[in-house]
Amino acid sequence: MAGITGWEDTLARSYVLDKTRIVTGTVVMHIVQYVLLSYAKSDYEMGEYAAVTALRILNGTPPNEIPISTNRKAKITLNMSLAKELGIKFPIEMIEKATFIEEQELP
Amino acid sequence: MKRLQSIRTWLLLFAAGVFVLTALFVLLAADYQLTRITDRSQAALYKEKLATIINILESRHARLLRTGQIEAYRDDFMSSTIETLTRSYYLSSDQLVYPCIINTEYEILMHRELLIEKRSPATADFHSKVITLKNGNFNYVTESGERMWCIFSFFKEWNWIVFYSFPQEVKYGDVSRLRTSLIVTLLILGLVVIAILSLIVTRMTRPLRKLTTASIAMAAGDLDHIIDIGARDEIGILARSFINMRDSIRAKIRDLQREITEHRKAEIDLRESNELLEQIFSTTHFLLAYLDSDFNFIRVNEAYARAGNQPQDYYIGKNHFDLFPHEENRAIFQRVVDTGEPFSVEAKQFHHPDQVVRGTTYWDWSLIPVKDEAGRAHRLVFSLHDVTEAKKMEAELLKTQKLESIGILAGGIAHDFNNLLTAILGNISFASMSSDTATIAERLTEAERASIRAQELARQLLTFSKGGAPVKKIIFLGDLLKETVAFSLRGANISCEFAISPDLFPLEVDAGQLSQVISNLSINADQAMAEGGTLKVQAGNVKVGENAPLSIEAGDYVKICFEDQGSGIAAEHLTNIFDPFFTTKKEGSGLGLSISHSIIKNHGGCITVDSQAGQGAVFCLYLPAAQKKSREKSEKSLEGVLEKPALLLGNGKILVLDDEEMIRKLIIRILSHAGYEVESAADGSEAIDLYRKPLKMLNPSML
Repeated sequence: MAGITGWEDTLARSYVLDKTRIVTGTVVMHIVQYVLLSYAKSDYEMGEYAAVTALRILNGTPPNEIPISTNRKAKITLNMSLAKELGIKFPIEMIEKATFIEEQELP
Repeated sequence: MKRLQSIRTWLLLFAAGVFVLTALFVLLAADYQLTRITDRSQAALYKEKLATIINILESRHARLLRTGQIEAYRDDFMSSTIETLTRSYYLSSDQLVYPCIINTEYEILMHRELLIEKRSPATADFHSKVITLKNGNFNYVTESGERMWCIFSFFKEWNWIVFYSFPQEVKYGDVSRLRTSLIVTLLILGLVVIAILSLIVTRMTRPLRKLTTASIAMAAGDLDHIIDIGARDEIGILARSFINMRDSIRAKIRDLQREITEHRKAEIDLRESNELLEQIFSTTHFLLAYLDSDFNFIRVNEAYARAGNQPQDYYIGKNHFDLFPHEENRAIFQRVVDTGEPFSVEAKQFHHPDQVVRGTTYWDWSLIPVKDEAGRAHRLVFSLHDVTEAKKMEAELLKTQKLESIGILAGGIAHDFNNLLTAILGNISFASMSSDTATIAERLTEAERASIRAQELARQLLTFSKGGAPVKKIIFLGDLLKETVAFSLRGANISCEFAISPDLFPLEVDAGQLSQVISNLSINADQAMAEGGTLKVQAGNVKVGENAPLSIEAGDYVKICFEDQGSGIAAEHLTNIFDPFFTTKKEGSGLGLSISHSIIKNHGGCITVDSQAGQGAVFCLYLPAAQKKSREKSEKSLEGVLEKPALLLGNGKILVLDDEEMIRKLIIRILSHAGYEVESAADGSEAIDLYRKPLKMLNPSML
């Protein structure tokens, strides 16, 4: 975790894996590794929106003409190791749409 | 049927056959190649498709592994995967080709038609191949008999077998369509090719058909059938050769027809000729005998049989020389057989056994050889003609002409005799009137001279007029020629020049007949030169060669030429002048030259004439020189003759026979003067009586 001195992610994960007894979830990306499942808005979508909007402004569109927008894309992330520990089996449809924490860690 | 057997049909059938075979071969080869290509390409294509599915399965399996709960999620993953694949590959209901999945338990996991989770109804063979081979492809036949093709791949993590299985007709659909279109194309192409070939063959074989038609027409006898082929190729050459051959045949047929016509005409001519010959043979008065080369009679004509007083059959098979032995003639016959040269002889005297009855006969006879194919004389035609009558007639003619000549001469002779008699009478009269002995003797000498000349003239006349058969003697021509010419030209108003070689060969001739010839030619010359002129008479020895253009044998001859300066003889008359009774003169009998020709010919000589109208004429006589023996004999006898005669004084009894009393008296006086006892008689009977008297008186030495 950025900003926390002496944070050891491996230990944190091991702890979560060992201590979690309930279904945990989040909607932010930076803690998805430590919860069972997450439904977080897409950083890429936001970056993409910022870039496209900046281009529009640079092309002369007044900022006041640009409407307020919300995230449309979200990413499901599953912690299959934790699910195994908790004995939770996700429906296959979720599995199909989700990204495993283990997959994200893959190089 | 002929149409079927024609070259055109055969060519077309052949071309069509070749084309069909080629098309079949192309089809089979194409089919084979396309099948192989299709097999390869389909195998590759479906292998790739299977690989894609296997890839999907592998990625799904990899995700399953990542869940960390393989057993928990395995079935879900499998179902999800089946669903995904079904969505991806089962697009339409009429889809024939689609992937299927079964597991190693033969449970159907994905199939369009068969119920899922049922066991595969495929054959055990199918399953065993799939399970055993894991990967590959094969053909199989369903229970309903449908031919199928299957390609499969094994996904071992899930014990899944992914395969495509569909009818082979689908697999080879393109091949089948290509084959169909190829067949259609080849069929259309075949029809087009056959149509074009038909046109070409028809065009190419048109000259042949024309030739065929022409040959059929020719075979039917129509040689005028028009053959119009303008081609310059081999067929054109063939056609032209054919036309040439046809023309040649036509010409040959024409020739043949002409030859047949000629042959028929020749046959008719030959038959007519044979009939004519037969007619002539039967009816001619010539005696004809047909002999073989051994001189046996093959046949004789009626005249021959009649002459021999025997029937015709009598002679057949008999030998000529058994019937008429004659060694000389046999030699002649044999020579004709050996040489093949004909022989003929004119007026040959024939000693017939009954000659006493018939008298001497004369025959023209000839022997003509008939040659076989090898050129040998194997037959002889023996022809005889009795010319006895003609011979007699010729003699009569000779006499007649002689009389005519004498008649012509009579005027001149009478004139000469008159002159001589005048001289004799005048001199005697003058002597009788004279008393002077010397004058009397002179006149009498003159009278004697004139008498001698008259005697000479009479002797010449006698010699000239002597008739009968020719009696040949050796003479020297010179004097006779001069005397006869001079004698003949008495009273004529032409002059005569002689150029006689002093060494003339002696001649064995009848002096009387030769005189007649000389006289004829002289008189002719005189008559030709009515206005006067000179007759040049030349005589000399010549040698006639083998090839001389004269109708005489080679040898030594005396040539006597009479060259006048008269009016000459027209060219158209030259060939007739020796014909009897041919004359251009009003007073002529036309016998003179004919007789002369006959006489000279009988002496083995010939007469030639050279003349042009208005330029005079030259008649030449060729007379054969006497043989050497005859010459010697003649020289001996002439020696005695040439000795000067002397008055033979002697004694004895001499009978004088002369019908002229004056002559008798003269001779009696002369002989008595010479010492002989002379009896005289005026005619033959008186002489015989006188001759018999001494016989009775046993004193026969008086003659």
